Amino acid sequence: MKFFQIVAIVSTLFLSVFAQAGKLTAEGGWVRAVPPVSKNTAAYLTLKNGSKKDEVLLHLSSKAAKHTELHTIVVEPNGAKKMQKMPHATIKAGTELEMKPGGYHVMLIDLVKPLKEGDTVELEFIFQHAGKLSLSLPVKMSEDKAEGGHHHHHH
Amino acid sequence: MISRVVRSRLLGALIGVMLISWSSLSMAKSLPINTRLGGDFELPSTLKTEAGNPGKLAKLSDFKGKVVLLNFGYTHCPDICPMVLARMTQIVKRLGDDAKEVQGVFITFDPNRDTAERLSEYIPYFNKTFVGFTGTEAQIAQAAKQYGVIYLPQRGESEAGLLFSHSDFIYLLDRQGRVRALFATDEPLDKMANDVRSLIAEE
Repeated sequence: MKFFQIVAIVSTLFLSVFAQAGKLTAEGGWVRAVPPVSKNTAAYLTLKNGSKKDEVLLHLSSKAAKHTELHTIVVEPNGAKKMQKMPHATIKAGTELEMKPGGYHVMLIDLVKPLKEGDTVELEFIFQHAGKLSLSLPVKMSEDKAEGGHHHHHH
Repeated sequence: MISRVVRSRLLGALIGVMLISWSSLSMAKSLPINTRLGGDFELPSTLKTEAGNPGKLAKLSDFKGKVVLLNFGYTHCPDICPMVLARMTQIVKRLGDDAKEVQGVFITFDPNRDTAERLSEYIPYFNKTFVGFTGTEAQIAQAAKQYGVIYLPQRGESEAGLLFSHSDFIYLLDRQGRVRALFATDEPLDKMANDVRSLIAEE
């Protein structure tokens, strides 16, 4: 009994930071906690395409919200930032798509119930080649690293 | 003779470089006053009226004596606005005891949806001391103009409905309400906290 509990806990922890479908991996995912009055929030993660083929994110969904959309931020000539819905995203062979505040993000619209710190959100991605990728992401107030202006890239 | 000319030119260049680096050093010590942006406003706020409801008229200058972190946004914003508010929260956290010298201020540019009641359910989530402001569209347009804030409604294909394209600076105001710095979303938190500390140290 105890053993299975540990296995369950460990696999949950594992799932929250790392998930894989074929040569496609997801890392460092989290969902922003927002005030209960707010019905929209965003999820962030990095998708790595370790295969030799370009990969296309075709569809995404979550039971936590009525609508799940992929958005990016476009900086307009006047400096204003504009959110833009993306029908899909291509991740070139051997590259990654980093979703972070102020950039690409998964938008969760019309949350089914308020999310608080410590909750988890299930996300499901459908890719052209790798197929289905299911993720369980932790809800956090913020990610210090992501919001400190320091972005560490290891290439 | 030639070498003396070259030498004096080199010396001139060296002095020039020293002057430039000296002036940039002294700039770093004291944040310049932005004379183009800023100014007071009086708007309905998340502060409570005598009857106990949010919507009390308040002025930005009511916070004179405190260092102010100010930003514009809207509560239906899923990415940038909560990020900016979370960053303001993290700056204040870094200040420890000095946090009481700082006032966080949020002004909505979506006043039709962001009533004082809604703001008072949204803003304290980030920090209980932060104050939100709303108003009429004309009042908000005036306040936004004072700070050079751009906001444009956009109806796209998103299920999220009305979204805005907008600028997203945090304005750092000194104890006298003068704009001293604008922080972009990629400005490091430690640098921002240091700038706030430098204004706290000013009398």
